[in-house]
Amino acid sequence: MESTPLLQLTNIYKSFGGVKALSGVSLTANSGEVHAVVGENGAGKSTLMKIISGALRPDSGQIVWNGTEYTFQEPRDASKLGIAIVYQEPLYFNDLSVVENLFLGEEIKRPNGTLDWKSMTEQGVDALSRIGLPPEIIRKPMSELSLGVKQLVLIARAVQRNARLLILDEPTAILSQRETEVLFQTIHTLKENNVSILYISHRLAEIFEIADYVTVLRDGHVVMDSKVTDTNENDLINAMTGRKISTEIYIPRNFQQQDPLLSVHNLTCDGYYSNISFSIKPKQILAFYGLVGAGRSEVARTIIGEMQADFGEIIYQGRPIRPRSSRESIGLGIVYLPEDRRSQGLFFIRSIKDNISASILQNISSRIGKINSNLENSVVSQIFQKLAIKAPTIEIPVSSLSGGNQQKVVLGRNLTLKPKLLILDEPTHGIDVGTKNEIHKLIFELANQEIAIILITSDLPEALAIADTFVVMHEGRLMGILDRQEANEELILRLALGINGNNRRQDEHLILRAPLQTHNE
Amino acid sequence: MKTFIPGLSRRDLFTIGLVILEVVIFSIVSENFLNSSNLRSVLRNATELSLVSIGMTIVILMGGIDISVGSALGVVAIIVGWLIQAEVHPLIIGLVAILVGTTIGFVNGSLITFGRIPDIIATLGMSNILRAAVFGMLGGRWITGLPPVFSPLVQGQYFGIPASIFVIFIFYFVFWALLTFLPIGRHIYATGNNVEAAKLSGIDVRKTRIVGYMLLGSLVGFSSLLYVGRLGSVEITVGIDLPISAIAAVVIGGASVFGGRGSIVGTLAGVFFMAFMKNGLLLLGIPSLWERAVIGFLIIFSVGIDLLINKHQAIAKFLHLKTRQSRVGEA
Repeated sequence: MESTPLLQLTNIYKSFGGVKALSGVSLTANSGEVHAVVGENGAGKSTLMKIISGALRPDSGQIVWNGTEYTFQEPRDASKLGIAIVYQEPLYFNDLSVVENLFLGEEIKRPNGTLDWKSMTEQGVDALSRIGLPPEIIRKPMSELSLGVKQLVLIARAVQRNARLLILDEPTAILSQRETEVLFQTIHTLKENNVSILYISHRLAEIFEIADYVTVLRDGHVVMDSKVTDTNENDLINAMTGRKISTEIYIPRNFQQQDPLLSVHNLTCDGYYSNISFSIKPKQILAFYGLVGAGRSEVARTIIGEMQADFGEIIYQGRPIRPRSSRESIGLGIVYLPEDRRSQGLFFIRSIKDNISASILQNISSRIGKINSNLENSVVSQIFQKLAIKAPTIEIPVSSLSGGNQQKVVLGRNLTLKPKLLILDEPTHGIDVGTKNEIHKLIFELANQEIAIILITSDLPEALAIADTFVVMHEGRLMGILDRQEANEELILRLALGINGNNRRQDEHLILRAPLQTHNE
Repeated sequence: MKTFIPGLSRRDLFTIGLVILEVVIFSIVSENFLNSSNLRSVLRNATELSLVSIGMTIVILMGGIDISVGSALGVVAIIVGWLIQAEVHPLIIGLVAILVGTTIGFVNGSLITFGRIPDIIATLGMSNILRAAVFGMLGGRWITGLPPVFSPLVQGQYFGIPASIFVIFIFYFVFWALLTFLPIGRHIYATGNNVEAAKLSGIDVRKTRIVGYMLLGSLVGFSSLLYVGRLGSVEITVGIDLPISAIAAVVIGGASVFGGRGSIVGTLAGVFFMAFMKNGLLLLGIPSLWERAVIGFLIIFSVGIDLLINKHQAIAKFLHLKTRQSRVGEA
């Protein structure tokens, strides 16, 4: 490249509370090129994009735009230079029209200060047609458009603002085939207009279709940086995996003899997941692996009754169940540790004690209904000690604890319910390594006490280190069920990426369909 | 194991400090303030507000609000008046009052939980419906000259202590114990603090909400007995200032309007603050129209201060974190 690159990142570091998200990432984007960025969950893609778009500031490193070094304080600084980002879950105003969405915040005004709708409509139509959208939608409210068209409108918004660098984060995840074609056409047009595009995707095939360059991130490092023509799918997958995985902590348990505690047959919830079948026995640790948006949490929320399936059945302890709320599933012994502890798990301003005992207050009350505070204190203290929660007393508010200890508090509350099936949704997300190891040990300890554990995780090494069985999902579909013996990082990742490997369990999954007819009307 | 020691949070102490400061100031500027007959009348006039504020605390702790309490009190007071005129046994009147109040609370709670109508809208609508009922039931004529059947609850004196002190003390103790020692109390805090977490913990959030509104309703019902006992009449403007005064008392007492944080003791201090404020303004000869402005200002000021405090962690730590022994029941 003889000309100056449009954007050059050098040695970018960023960490969140001790967890390194990016370590020394460098990246170069040239005008008129599509640069793909790939990597597993947590590889650092989103953090990197947020740094480029000004939403986050790097701890150290250099951002050079068109030959000049910049420090972005806020997204506005980046957008002024011509950097636009379209998020995976697009942000738009449903009740406003397309033209209003296109110009929001940068409205064109007449000299007297009123809005110049005529110019806005003209320029808006121009932007829409440039990316192949029909101009007549300009006056429609966003709510009348399909999700895919909305996404394209947001790209039109970037185009209209003369973006010179466009970041697309998983743009095709919500697009139909037809819309994807329109998008790719648009990308070609933008390239011709000398726009640079950073393209994040899990769909490797797309990268070979439209990208010129590809950068692979793994654990916050750049592990591969290559022309697309110089690489292939296998190289990419090898680059994405290949981490050192410690399997030393795994403790084998014998659960084969037992009957399944829970089995799920052809569970389907339109728009989230379809045809999910698996089963789990007491003592078994079952990892649910998939990339973000694979539908794992939704399956879990269906089992606990916070979502309702359209089809299929859940057999628990030998009989079909259909819980309507987590109250009901808790009554059955199914307990869920939510993905987002802050917004779904903790009573943030309350004490450790109140948080741990919240689920069992009725059980520890006397006949007249008064909470037995001695009993409460002893139950809570037991858990407090068992989980080694680092806090001076059980009376301090959970808001003053570290993330790992907060997670232990939520887990502690789960344990007060004496679960038979424990569903842990990203239990170690954003937690320091030490506490993570403690939680892993605890999971084994719980499994040894006859508890069946479903571990939903985006952390593949974690899954490989502790799970007996792996259920891999991709975009709402079950891709395969693997034993510990046959599982390896590459195979699981292939399945999670939607590239069919040799998943022999597919047949078993087909067999499970047979008894369904008898149970479902 | 450590035994439970009832204690006050720093935020409670802060409100109590405010009340003391207020008393000192009014004692200096008005010589009529600090004498026993004036203080007795302040207490007497604040009895209904005290009880309703307990219920308002519960509702605000759950992240809700109820602005229908004034009209609800009016409707129940009229029914009480009629029953007194019909010479029904006082015990039955009392039960009817509590029952009607609780029913109104149940309707509010159901509209909010099952109808998914925002708290403020449901109770605003209810408030207007019940206010119309007050007009209709009174038919332009006030109920006056009622025999003092319920006066002993507010006017009397026992062992040299005014009856209203007994009433206030008993109710605050009972509800403090309820919020502190019964599961429903913790469920109320939990629901207000984080609904999603409460649901996933297996707490019946809908039941908790409805029970909360019903508790408030029952307190409103009982307060109407005090109102009738105190005045011996029911005016058309009955309870018109009650919702705003109760909300003011609760937020001055340190409860967060976003739910999850607040205490019964803080509310009691808030009630006293409000009662002394009204009385002090009166003694200073300030026209009563200013009273409303002051209350309005106090609400905005208290909530504003609360938000400011929460932004600045150092102050928040000082005011909101309780001393270790006192973490049960209040926040």
